Amino acid sequence: MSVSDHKCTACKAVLKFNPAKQKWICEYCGTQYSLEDLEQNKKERNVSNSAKSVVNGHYKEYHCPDCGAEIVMDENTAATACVYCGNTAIISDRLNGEFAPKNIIPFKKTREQAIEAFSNYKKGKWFMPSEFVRKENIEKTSGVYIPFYLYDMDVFEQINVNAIKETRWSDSDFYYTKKDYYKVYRAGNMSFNKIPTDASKKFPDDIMDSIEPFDYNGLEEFNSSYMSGFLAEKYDIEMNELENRAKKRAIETAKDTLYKDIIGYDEKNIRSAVDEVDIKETSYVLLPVWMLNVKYNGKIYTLAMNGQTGKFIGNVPISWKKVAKIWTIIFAIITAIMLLFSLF
Amino acid sequence: MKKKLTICIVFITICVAVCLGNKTNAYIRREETNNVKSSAEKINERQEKDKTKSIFISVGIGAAASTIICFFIGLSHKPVKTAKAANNYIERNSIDITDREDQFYDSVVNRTAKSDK
Repeated sequence: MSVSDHKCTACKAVLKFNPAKQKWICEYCGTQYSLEDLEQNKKERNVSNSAKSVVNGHYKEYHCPDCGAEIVMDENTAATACVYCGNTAIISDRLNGEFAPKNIIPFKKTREQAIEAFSNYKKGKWFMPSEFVRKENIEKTSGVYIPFYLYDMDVFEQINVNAIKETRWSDSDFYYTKKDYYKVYRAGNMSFNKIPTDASKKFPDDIMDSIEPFDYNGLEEFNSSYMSGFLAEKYDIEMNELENRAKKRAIETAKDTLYKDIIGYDEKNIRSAVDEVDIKETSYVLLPVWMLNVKYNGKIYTLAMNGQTGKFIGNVPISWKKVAKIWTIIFAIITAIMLLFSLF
Repeated sequence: MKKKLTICIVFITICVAVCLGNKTNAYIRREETNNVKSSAEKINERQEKDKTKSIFISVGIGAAASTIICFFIGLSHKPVKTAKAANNYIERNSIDITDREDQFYDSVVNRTAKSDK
């Protein structure tokens, strides 16, 4: 097993990737490095320090190549930070061979931007206790490269729909409603590109789904240097186990696309559907996510920010005091208007 | 600011309710002074009924509407959801509807007498 890191050639301090500058910066002397510089340095010095690993149940111990301290991590962690010196330890074995990601989207958003986004996470959240978004409530902010599978697929979808056209008219004595019943059939092909599914059990699927979409124009060839200063996980769910999840999403969209093609009816109900899905290509990638653990009233809330686009999401607590207050205000306004109408 | 606004709104509501009551009472008094007692009593009764009814309706609609609005505001506090579709990942120019069939199979006419409505 080996643990690797990146060091400044000038002062030997640890380099960290700066999302804002898209460069590696030495936090001590301020020297900036591009990816090419790092590759050159890698060739010149051997960055892999052999380290003994001790297996203890699901946890393994490594030695920090910088300070020699023990780093304990679970079996799926691919990059972590030494708790003593803060050095990023990248477990190369967990990013090679079968675990080698094809691509990576480097972080574009900084930790400060994630914290700022949390502080501004108030829009439309009238029931949220105002103290919740205080920066002091943030227990932990981690920039994590999360393993994802991306599926490219072709879908052939067929839907059978019961549809009704309604016509209304009247004469001097009666109202008439005429309902014309139709059997509608639609079939079509469509392609899907890079449907993502989170490949780690550690991270809640709903949160990972909610921070989508990522801009795939930002996909870079995988290079472990991007992990400096961040955490990373390797996949712990096999690609074929998640296939169905991606397929279901594609089928849902395919059905909806055909359904929207049926026009000119007043009622439409899908009677049956047949789908054929052909997975063309799959790839294993690492995508950047800022995870924030916020402690409020003794409860931990997990919020996340897309490390590339900055989309911030998370469930927030509700203050029932605020609910009562706002309910009363709305109630009073509507009641007053209604009373005014009945008065004049 | 919010406190002041709440007080203002509650105050306006009370004022409107009082106005409504006063208007009815004034009308009744005027009718009474005109010595049209029987007619005034009838109007009084009818207006009392209308007033109570309109207050009940207003309060009911106000309560229902504010509950619905609060429910929808509450939903925005739980935005985390599992994705059901893949709308962001469909290649728009790849959509090819290969078959369209619309087959008519039945027609039903319903007739309702105007007096029933």
